[in-house]
Amino acid sequence: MIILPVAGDSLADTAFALPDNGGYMVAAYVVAAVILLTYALFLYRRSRSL
Amino acid sequence: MTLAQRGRVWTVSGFVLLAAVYVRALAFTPTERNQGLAQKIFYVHVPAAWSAMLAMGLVGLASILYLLLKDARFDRFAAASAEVGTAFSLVMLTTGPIWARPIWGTWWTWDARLTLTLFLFFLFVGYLLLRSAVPEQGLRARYSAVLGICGLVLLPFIHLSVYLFRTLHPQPIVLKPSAPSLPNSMLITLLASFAVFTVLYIGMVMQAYALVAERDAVVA
Repeated sequence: MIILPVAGDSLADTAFALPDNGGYMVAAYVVAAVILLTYALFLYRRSRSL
Repeated sequence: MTLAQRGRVWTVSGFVLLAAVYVRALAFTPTERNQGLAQKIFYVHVPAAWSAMLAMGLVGLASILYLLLKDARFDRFAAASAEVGTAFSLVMLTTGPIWARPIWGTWWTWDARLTLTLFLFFLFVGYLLLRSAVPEQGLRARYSAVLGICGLVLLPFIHLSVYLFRTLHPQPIVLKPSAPSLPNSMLITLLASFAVFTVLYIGMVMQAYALVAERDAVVA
C-alpha cells in the first residue's frame, strides 16, 4: 500500500521538513574557529617580540 | 610599525570579520532545502580550500622566482605561505568530512578530489619538514623551491579532478566558466567569506614572514 502525504497530515509535514543535521554545522564552525585561533595564537606567541 | 605588528592588525581584523561572516551565514543566509543546515558548512569549507590553494599557488610562484632571481625574500615568502597554508588545509580537511557524514553518509571516500586535497596537505607538511631538515640556507631554499613547484603543478589537477574523474564531490559553483549557480543571498555570504579568509591569510603570512626573516638574520 502506498501512503501519499496529504496537506495537514504529519507525513506531509515531514516530507518538507529540513534534515536534522544542525549539529554537524555547529561542529564544523567550531572546529574551523579553533584551528584558526590556535594557529593565530601560536604565531602571536612566536612573533610577540618582533 | 613592524611587519609582524601589521600582520597582527590584519589577523585581528580578519577574526572580527570572520565573526561577522559566521553571524551572516548562520542567521541571515537561507537554509538549503535538501541538505538543511549542514549545507552552511560550505561557507567555511570552500573559503578554507581557496586559501589553502592560494597559499600553495603562491608558494609555487615564489619558488619559481627564487630559482630565477636567487632573491632570499621569495624563499622566505614561500616558507611563510606554506606554514599558513597548512593551517587552512587542515580546516578544509576537517570541515569537509563533517559535511560529508550527514550528506554522503560517510566521513571519507577515496575519490579523486578528496585524495588530491589530502596530497596537498601532505605536500605542505613535507615542505615544512624538508625546510627544518636542511640546515644550509641556500640548499634548503633550492630543495624546497622544487617541492613548492610540485605543489603548484598539483593545483590544476585538484580543481579539474571533478571533471576528469567520476567523483562524489560537488562540481564548482563559483569558479567555473558559466555564472555562479547560487542565489544572491548565498553568493554574497560565500564571497564575503572568501574575502575574510584572504584577509586572515595575508595577516598570518605577514607574521610568519617576519619570523622567517628574523630566523634567517640570526643564522646569518
